[in-house]
Amino acid sequence: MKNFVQKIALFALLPIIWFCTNMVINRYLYLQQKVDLAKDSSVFIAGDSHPQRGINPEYFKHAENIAQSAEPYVLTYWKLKKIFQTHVPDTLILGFSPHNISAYNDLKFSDDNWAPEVFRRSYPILNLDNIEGKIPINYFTYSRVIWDNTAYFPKEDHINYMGQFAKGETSRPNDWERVIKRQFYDEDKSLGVSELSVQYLDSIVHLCTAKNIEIVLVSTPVHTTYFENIPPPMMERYSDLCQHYATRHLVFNRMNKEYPDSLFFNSNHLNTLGANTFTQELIEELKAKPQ
Amino acid sequence: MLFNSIDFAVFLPIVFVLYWFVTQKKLTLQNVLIVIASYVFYGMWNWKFLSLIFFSTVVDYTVGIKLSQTENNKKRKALLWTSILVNLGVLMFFKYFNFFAESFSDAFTLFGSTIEPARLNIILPVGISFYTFQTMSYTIDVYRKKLEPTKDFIAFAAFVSFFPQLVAGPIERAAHLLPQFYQKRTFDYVKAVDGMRQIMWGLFKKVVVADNCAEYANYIFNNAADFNGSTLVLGALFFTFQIYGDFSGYSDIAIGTSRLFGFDLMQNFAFPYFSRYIAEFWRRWHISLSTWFRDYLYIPLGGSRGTLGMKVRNTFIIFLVSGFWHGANWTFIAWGFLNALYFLPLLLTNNNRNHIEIVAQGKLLPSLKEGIQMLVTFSLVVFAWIFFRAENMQHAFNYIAGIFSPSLFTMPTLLPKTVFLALLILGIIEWCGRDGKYALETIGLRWKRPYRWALYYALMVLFFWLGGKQQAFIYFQF
Repeated sequence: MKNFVQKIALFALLPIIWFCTNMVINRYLYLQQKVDLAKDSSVFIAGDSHPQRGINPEYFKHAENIAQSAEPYVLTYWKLKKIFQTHVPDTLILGFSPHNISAYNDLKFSDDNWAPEVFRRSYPILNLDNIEGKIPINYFTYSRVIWDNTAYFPKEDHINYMGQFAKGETSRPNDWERVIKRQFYDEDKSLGVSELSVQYLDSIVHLCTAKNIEIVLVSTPVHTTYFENIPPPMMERYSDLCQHYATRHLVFNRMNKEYPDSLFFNSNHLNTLGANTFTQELIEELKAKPQ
Repeated sequence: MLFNSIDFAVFLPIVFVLYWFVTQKKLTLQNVLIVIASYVFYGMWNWKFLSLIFFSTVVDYTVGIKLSQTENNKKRKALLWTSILVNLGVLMFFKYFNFFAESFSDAFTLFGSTIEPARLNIILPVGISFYTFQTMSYTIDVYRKKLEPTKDFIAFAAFVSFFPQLVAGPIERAAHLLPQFYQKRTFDYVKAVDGMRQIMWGLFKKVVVADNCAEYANYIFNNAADFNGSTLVLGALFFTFQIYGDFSGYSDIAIGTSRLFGFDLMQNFAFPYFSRYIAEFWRRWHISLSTWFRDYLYIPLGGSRGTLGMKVRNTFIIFLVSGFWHGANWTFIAWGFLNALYFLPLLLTNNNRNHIEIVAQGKLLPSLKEGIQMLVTFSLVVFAWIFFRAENMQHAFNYIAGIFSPSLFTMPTLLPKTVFLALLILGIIEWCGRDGKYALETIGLRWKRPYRWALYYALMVLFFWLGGKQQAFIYFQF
């Protein structure tokens, strides 16, 4: 027995040393790694798939679309905090729609499907202490993601949180029911407002103010079928927040602007044609804004 | 709890240490630990269904005791049927109720009237087909007086719930496994090291082969209409290796784990894809189930004795029941039927008992004739797996129609290199180790330790490098 345990321990020693060394190296690498963004970028477009698909950075002089699909504000905040250490833009365009403050965002750190992806993107920047106790967190999945991304090999690139403009050529705006259910309901029960998301939206605004960055809250057009089915309490809270931020910042809310079906990728996203149209409208609005 | 999960990687050493360092002095304590560990193992999937295992344990334990107390044939038969009906009743309820209800409703539709089938919204308890068959073997053996009924409830509960083989076998015979719970177990270094090797090989088959094949097999089968004939052939091949890697991998891990605790389980797979005839394939595939059906169904029906008609009938019964055991779907029955058809010519020409030994024993390569025999048998097996994997009969027929189309002779649209590399490694190691009970049993045993360990490390690197996305074991659903 003693012999067996000794041999197993000896056999396991090499992999343990290998894994531990990799984890230390990878931790060093990701703490050192800097975000690869053009130095002259003056506009950042952040948020989830709405700005990712709906705002084409090519229409700006020096802009980067760093939005990623399904990104909750919690993650956007950590991401911007990290980016602003080395790159401070003049303007931040942040996606802001009712679904961004829906409590379905709170499930993204615990849901079996979402959590692995959210942790994969965010492990080098997230600070779980800040959200512990406020929303459920799947620590097992978190450990698993850390393990998968750091234990096996030294990895040079740990930045998975940078998105880019996503093109979409199709036009299938008839999926509103599925999307509404996913974003605002758990089975048939309304999910309500995520206070954590509201709090982190505020933190993003404060972060920008502190860095002297002009923040613009933008809502891209959505299909009428989708718009009309957003739960009223969610719309009310959203409108309140729009009013609140509009006193100091530009809130460009075009949710209910009626675009033809051909400009939609699906019921709540624009396709490339739609994005081009919307981006030009946004730029006009920014130009018209009094300095 | 999956064998290829971190949960199990933590669970196993804890149970191992408790078993050999804390409870080793008292046999009953070791058995109690096995029962607790097994219930935790199963309960982590769904603790509510532990009551089913406990119920099955109590019923068969009681029936066993009662059987030993009476010589009255009528009473004995009644007791036997009580056990069979309870076990099969539970199985039928959870696994087959919806199937029968729907088939009944479909039958009415044929006659022009429609009835809405009563459906139960229930989930299938993992491994129910395995442990019910295992406990039934106990009662039948006691009834046949081939086995003394146990009076040790803890040992019996450990036999029924023994965690390494609880959810996907091998389906052990009471006569083989139960007595091992009465004997004092002493740690055997050689056995434990052998167990570790078998676990490692099982993990390779599951993580590297099955999980990789599963991704592509699922993709191709789920989108069959979008692929050309040659890609559909690849899809069927990937499923063929997925199910082998998955199930034989599970069996290897189960047997290896049992060896760590001083138990010997029966061999469940013996390199079935190297078979030269279908009969040989069935002696090498899921051996514990095939022999179960042979001993408790085929032989009582008359086996290969009697008239030609009886032999044919018995063959079809055994294969159809075997298909049905796998699941409540006509596709499984079609799979069983097809295998019976394959088997029939061998039975009629009395060639079903040829080729007991492994192909090309003691040689490096098979002869041309053996090679062709293996290829033909393998092709038949692959074809039958299409029914096994398909969602329904229509899906299977469409898939087959897709294969036998002009696009069969075009290049496949998917050529995943990782899967081919995994299959190549599997093929080489399995071929080299086909004389053993599992491929890695003898490979490298006489090498110096650094070389032997290098082989094990290489396998571990393959887990991480080539390991596919974690999938549940296919046979959990049976």
